[in-house]
Amino acid sequence: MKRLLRELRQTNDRDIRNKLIEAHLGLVEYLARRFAGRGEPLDDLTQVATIGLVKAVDRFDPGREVEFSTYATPTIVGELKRHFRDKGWAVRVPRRLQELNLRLGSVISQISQDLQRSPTVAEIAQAAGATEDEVLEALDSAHAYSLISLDAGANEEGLSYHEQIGTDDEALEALEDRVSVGPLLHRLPPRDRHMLYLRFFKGLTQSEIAKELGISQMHVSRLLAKTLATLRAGLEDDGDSDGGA
Amino acid sequence: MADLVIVRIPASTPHIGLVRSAASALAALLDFTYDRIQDLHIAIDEVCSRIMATSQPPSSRIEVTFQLDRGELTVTARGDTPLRTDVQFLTKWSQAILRSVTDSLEIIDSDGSARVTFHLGRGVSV
Repeated sequence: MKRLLRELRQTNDRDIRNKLIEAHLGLVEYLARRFAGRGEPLDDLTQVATIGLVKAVDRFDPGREVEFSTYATPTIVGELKRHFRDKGWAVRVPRRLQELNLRLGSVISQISQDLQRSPTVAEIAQAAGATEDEVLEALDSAHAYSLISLDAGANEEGLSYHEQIGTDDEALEALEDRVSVGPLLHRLPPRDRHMLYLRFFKGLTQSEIAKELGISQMHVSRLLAKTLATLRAGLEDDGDSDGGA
Repeated sequence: MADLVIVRIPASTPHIGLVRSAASALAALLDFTYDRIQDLHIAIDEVCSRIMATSQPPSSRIEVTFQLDRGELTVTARGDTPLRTDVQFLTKWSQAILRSVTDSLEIIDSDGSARVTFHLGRGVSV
């Protein structure tokens, strides 16, 4: 292995570089798995870990008295940790809260149905067998995740929005008519646009939207927060113009 | 007698999370519904991000005051620098969002600085 690494330093040969990378994909896979189950898909983790490996291959000094794998491991782990830090999720949010968070989605849906209204935090806590503080923390961690998750999972709850939305043109027209975020709306997926329309212009509550679209309230809340953040970012890019009040 | 809670944060996006957390904790004290807490979060995000986007020089701090009175929450947010005059503070879009998630909204704009106050009830009468 060191011979290959020395050769790479001398020749900068792409084939040698690729060979070295391929030879260590097992290590990449192993380390990526260690970070699995923290809210990020394994495929993404493997990709991130591979980037770490490439960096290690490019930076390793074959003259050093350490094995390549000894050098590469912290580089790869560092890359994985940075990924989580950038995502603001798993490393910071304890597993206990993540699990509660996953459970809360269905708990909230269930008691909303039972009560025929949106539940209070105390009611959610009671139904989930958790304290109010835990529920609040778990809900906050959901929010942290939602803002950075690029796609909150279109099919996360097994539905096709396109099938459900026959009225997208209507929604678009109504939104465009009332506000002037204009072109930004066109860039949104129809699903997100429809949700904006239902919440802000039809005045439906998040529970009502959840019911209408057959998804959980938490999912609605994540998607709305994400869509608004996208629009905000877009507005700043577009020089913050708005047609005046 | 109303209880007052004041949160002052550096004007940067990650810190808005802190205001949201404080807001949910206070809303839970008042027994707000989950829907209302989400509304509260949307309103806070919107107001704080507009303050950051439109103050010049950029606000270094945002002060958010929560007033808890008779089971309802009144939130006031302000930056610490004047607003830009070339862009709107609350666009029509922002106002539409805020009006639909709050029970009342007041924008006080004087001497180039602005303050937004909004008010939410708990969502249902149980």
